[in-house]
Amino acid sequence: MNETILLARRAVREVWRLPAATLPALFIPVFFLVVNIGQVNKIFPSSTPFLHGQHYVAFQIPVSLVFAVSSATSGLAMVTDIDIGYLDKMLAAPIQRTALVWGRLAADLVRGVVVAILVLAVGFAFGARVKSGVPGVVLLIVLAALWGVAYAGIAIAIALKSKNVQTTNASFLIFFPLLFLTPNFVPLELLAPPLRVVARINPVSYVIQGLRDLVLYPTIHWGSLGACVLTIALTGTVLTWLSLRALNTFTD
Amino acid sequence: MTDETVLAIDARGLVKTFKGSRGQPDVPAVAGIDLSVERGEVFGFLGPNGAGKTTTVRMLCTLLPITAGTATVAGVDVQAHPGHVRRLIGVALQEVGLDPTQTGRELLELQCGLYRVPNPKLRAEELLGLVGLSEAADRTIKGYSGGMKRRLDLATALVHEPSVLFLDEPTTGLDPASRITIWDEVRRINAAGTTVFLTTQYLEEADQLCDRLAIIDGGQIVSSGTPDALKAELGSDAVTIGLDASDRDNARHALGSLNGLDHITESEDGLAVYVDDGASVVAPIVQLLAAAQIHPNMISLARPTLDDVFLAATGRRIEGQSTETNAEVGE
Repeated sequence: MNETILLARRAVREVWRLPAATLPALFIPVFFLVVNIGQVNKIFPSSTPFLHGQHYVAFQIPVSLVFAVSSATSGLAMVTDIDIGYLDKMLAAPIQRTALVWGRLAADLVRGVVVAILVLAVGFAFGARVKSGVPGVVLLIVLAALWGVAYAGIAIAIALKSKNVQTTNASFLIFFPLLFLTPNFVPLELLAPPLRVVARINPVSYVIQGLRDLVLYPTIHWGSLGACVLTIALTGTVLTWLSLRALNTFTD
Repeated sequence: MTDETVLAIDARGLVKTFKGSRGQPDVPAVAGIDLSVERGEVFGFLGPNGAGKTTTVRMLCTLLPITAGTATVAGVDVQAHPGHVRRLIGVALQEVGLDPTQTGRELLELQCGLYRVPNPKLRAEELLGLVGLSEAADRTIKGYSGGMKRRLDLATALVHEPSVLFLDEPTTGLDPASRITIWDEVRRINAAGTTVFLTTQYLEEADQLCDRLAIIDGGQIVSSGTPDALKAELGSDAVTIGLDASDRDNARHALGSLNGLDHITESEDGLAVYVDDGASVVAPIVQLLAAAQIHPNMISLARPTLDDVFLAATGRRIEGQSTETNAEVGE
């Protein structure tokens, strides 16, 4: 545990000192949010039933949150550690090797919280409100950050397997379709039937839906929240397992 | 691990074979080497690029699985107890393993924490002073020079006062002044009781630092011993004679009757004549050549170097000079 905290502190310092590695990942979702609002606001005014009296920006905020925290930053940092020989130094140290992954994920949690707060602030500036109040805001931030942690495993696993920056960066290609094969612009029931089928089996849909219900409804919808938490937990378990497995076989 | 009779490093039949990719044959990087490194010595592993030095170090440091053979470091089996071995060794690999976004102090304190050193801040401060980086301690490593990075890397390998220190080409790419600083550090570390296993492709480095060394080429140890013993094994002084290419065959023939001649090899500038006592044969060489109407443009006398040892063991110069055309005459 001590090792994980030490490595997480190092990773957080790295994030802080290399804003260029995080800011673009934040810029793109915020840019999408602003552009989408500009284009769709008039089509979906606040009187649109699925907006429940909210601005369209409120409907889009969960998408931007998920978009912003789903980054390959930790994977890219891992490739850098491999390239500069720092990972070798860590692997030669008498530590639990899993701490190398847990440390990165802990830093992802911190980064996720900060990024989620910034995205929410932008949403608030554009008129969005979280109907479920302060508990909803806290849940939005925590769940978004946890999704970021869950998702980070894929880039870390690819980094350890490929040892290559370009391949690791391309892990984003896995996420990009998943983000858009969801009810991201309109609710699930308004999607065309084939897309609706895909969206139903896409785990990202359940994360977006859980977060969206926190924004749109004054009371917590335990069903969608539970599905969101379960999706994050399952995704996190699978992808973290993949990254730990990649680390264990790294020197083979 | 205080048993003084236990070897610092003991490897038997160590093999590393890398799987060939996409139908290519497997690549034997280390082909069954034996190593016995005594406690407290500086042991050199000398060889050209691709000889198998780094692969050997990585196996001994638990960073690469061993294909076949056995190895113990500080008496602990590398394959059976890698975690235990990691507590006993310090490692500074060829690639300087430093995070450029951290300061020197942060990196050392982190390293102390990972090795559970009791007072990380104090130990980091101590090590920074030791490697002359106190003033740069709070600057990010990104701005350090190559020599500073090497010294810091060395410090990170020392946080827990390891029993055995592995240094993989510690001075490659450094300027001469930085190289001498690292040498001084290695001597100081060794004087404090740490066994040092050092790989290098620099002959002078091996000569300057190592109590004993092994020469590795093509994944096999081709010679080993103290630098002096290895040179003495050649048993000859080398008299280098600068000659035009057209005179070389005649000169070799003319010198065949030289007293105390061991052997003659062709060198880049002419001939290298190996004799028992170089000082006593310079005059006879000049006379024999003059009698054969050959006029050398240079004659120099030198004791055998490790490069000569390497040449004798492998048929090649370590710096990659081709000696395929070398022909030997004499006894």
